[in-house]
Amino acid sequence: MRYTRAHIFLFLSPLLLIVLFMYGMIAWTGYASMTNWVGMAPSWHFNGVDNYIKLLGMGRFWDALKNNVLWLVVFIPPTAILGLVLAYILDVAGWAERIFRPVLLYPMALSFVVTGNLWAWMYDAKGVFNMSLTGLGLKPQLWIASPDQVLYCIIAAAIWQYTGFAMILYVAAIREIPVEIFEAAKVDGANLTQLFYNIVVPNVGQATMIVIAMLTLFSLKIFDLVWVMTFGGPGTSSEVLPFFMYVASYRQGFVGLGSAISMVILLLAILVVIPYSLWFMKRAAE
Amino acid sequence: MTRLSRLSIYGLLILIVLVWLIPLYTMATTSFKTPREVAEGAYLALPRNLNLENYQEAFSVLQGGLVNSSIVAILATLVCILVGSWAGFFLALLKFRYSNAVFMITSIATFLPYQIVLFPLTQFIVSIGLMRTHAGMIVAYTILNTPMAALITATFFQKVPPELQEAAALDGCGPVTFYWRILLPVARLGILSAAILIFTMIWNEFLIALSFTLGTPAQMATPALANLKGSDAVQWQLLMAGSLLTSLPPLAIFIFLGRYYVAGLMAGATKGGA
Amino acid sequence: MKKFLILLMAAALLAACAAPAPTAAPPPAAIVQTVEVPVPVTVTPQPAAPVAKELVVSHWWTAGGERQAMDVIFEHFTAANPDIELLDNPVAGGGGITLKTVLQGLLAAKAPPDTFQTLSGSELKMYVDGKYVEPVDDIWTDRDLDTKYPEVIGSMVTFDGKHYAIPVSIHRANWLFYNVKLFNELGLKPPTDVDELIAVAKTIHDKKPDVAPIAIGTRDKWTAVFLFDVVLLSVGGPDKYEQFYTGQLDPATDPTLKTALEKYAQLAPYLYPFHGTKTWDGAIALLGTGEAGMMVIGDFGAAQLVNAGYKEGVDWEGAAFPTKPEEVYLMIIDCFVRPVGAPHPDSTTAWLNNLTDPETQAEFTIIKGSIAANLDVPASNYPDDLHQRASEAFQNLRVVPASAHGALTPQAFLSDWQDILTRFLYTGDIQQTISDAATFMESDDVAGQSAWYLAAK
Repeated sequence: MRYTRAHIFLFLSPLLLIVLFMYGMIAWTGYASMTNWVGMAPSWHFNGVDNYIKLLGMGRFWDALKNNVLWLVVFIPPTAILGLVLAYILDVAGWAERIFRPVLLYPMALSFVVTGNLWAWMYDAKGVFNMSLTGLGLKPQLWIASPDQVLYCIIAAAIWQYTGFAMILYVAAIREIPVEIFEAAKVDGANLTQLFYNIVVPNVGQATMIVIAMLTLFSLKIFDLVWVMTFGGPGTSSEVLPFFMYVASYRQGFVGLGSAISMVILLLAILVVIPYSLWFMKRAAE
Repeated sequence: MTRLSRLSIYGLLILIVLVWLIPLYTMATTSFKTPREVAEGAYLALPRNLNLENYQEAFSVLQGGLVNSSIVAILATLVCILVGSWAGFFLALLKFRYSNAVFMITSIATFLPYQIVLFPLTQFIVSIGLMRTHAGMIVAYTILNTPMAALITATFFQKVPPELQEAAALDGCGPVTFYWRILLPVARLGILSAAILIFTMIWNEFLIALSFTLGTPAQMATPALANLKGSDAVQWQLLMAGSLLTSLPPLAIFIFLGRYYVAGLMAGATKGGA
Repeated sequence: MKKFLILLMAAALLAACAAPAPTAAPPPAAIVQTVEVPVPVTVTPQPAAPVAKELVVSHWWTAGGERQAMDVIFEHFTAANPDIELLDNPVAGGGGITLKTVLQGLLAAKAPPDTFQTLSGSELKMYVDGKYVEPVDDIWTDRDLDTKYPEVIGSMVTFDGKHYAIPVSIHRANWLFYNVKLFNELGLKPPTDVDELIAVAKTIHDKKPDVAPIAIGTRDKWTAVFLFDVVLLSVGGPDKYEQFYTGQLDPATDPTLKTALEKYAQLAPYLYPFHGTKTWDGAIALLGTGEAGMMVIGDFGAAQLVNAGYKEGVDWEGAAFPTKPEEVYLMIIDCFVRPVGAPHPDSTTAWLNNLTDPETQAEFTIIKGSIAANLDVPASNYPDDLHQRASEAFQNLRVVPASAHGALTPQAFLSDWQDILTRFLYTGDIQQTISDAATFMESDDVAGQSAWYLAAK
């Protein structure tokens, strides 16, 4: 089809405008991170990397970063593995998939505020979990009231929400494995578990890359869930970087510092997105 | 496969399904209970009566938010899809020299955590005088979600058979006509998927809606729900009723149009760099 | 498909244009009136007549008791100014923690509400420094507030010789509420200092293991500061208290802080174990049901209990705490301001004027649990014992501004201090807490930011 420059302009410029605007805002944040803007009124006093140095010296920053890393380690593997196992089971179960897939996926349609409220209630002193424990004669737990348990509790809610997502990606991946391979293995007498380990797992590499990348990016964005469930508490034990950014910018007025935290989050995101994009573009070109 | 493995598979599935459904089940049953019943703590029990009071009260607080969210989400989604699919069309079907580069920078923009632009976005909306308004929210959400719309629609457009393009070119059809008369109808399911996904994301969004509109007449449903928790000692039955109310649109979309929702999710994940 | 899309778009656009932005769905009992009565409401001449007279009010009084009290002010206002439409914009979150988030955006946007709530002192200073509020000296002199209001209140809203807010009521932060039935059963008397508090807590814990001796809701982190404040008062007295929060003490060397933290650590095991998830109103509810024995909180806690149906003297009682070495009145002032660039400045003036009215304050404070700022309201106005004691205390005792929510101490430090204290409740690490306090006092520039207070003394 023939098209002119005017066409390119017409069709692409709105998107490009928006995208450039996004990058402009990121640059703004970058610049703000190098000022000593404190309080409500803007102040653009340049002070170089002072905010970053200050950040590196703040225990709170490292705690938040540690929590983010903990998220990556504790949230991603279970979600991915559970998603894969479920995808396989669904594939095997055949007709049941119609019913079970929506059930496992519906949490994605819920907002984090709803999920957060729901799970906060289940973790309540007299909530679902503690009532079950006392019913079984076990000791009730503090759950999100305990600085040690809280992060794991929040992560559990996130796993519940995102497993369906990992699952559907894996379902698509498993479908792409040629049926003949399965048939051949079954003829050789392989049972379900063997099929899983020897055929499915080695062949979902690409999907796993995608799942891990997506889940990592989700982890870096986690804010709503923490806000609703614990507000970063008890104390600051469940704070993650986006939350720390919020407190610094909005509650303490340290906009310069908050922007520096934002840039750190950006850096972490870029470390994931760019290699992934390159890898994907390369594969797509093949 | 053997009977045993078949049984164990189904058993496992049922167990998992129960685990996934219990939260929703308790949310629903609690929303109909009276405060006394909730205090009793028998969360698995069905409510004695279908108590609609909680819904009435939750609705009276949330109704403004629900209306506002509806207006903003629908309009913002429309704009995102329109603008996004224009670009998606060009990027997917009419390759030009910089297609890949544009793809790359768009996908990077899509997946960055949006909190990092919260402050400048606020300043921008402030400077054009649209704080606390529907238009301001629409502008903000358009900026944040159009790149994703572009990516998702591009994914679906790529599946359009090239013969269609060739035939159109032979007929002397230009890009504009092609887009409106051929592409949209042909790829309408893809567009629907993208629209559903983006609508859900906008409806469920929290931080920006909170900063821009909470406590104002234009407040949105999701932060209003979070605000519900703050008034009075936490009344779980009220909160659950409110949560269900706020979840109705995305849940309904999911239940009835689930197929498209899934397609949109997958397209967003598997294309364009992340 | 295309036609449908276009139709849908057109319909949505029409709907959005035709319907004005819906007013915030009010919680039951908020009042909005639009009676077209041409009553002149201001003294200053108006520019070309505005289409609708409105007053947009932002505040955080959403909890039980607070809401009803706010409605009283609304009633009085609308009665005096029937042609101004009152738009209530509450944002939940005790102490205005969430409101400040929203406000930050609005103020930077130069799109402020017509008036908003603030707590005086350092907190108000934030707005003054940002040039977001205008002086209200005109109302101050108009209403003769130098005479009608106690001097200490005036000083908390004065910066550079100008008044910047209109106080409406005063709360006392250092009350110890306790469950009467529990105390009677165990034969306990309310403690008068922190050692007695620890002893009473221990007794409750030993005799009634199911009851949490001290209720606290640290999801609202400032409750941890409330508790610490009374410990500090008991250990060091009001002078040390003021010095600490205005950065005059060196946390690393001053023994008072260390002792206070040690006592605080001794209280930690007696706190309600799930406090990390409870807000202040959730915690005080525990006192009512008998799941907890005591709670240190301001008299707005009483309003919450009364609203939940619990009776003073029968179910609960309030004791001033500490009474040794010196009983003080730890003051929290609620005020409203005149924002720069308010959309309806005449409405703002009318509102602020209405706030100073002794009748409005009289009725409001009864429900709110506070005492009126206006001295014209006699102590006999208050029907209940707690109020009257508060009123007497205010007039006879030394009044100290509370650190709560950033009135005495700068907001930034308070936010850090809250986090430090709540963390301390779990770790018990005194050394780390002291060093954190010292670090943050310096980085938040507490001494510098408190200069206004010290100069005024």
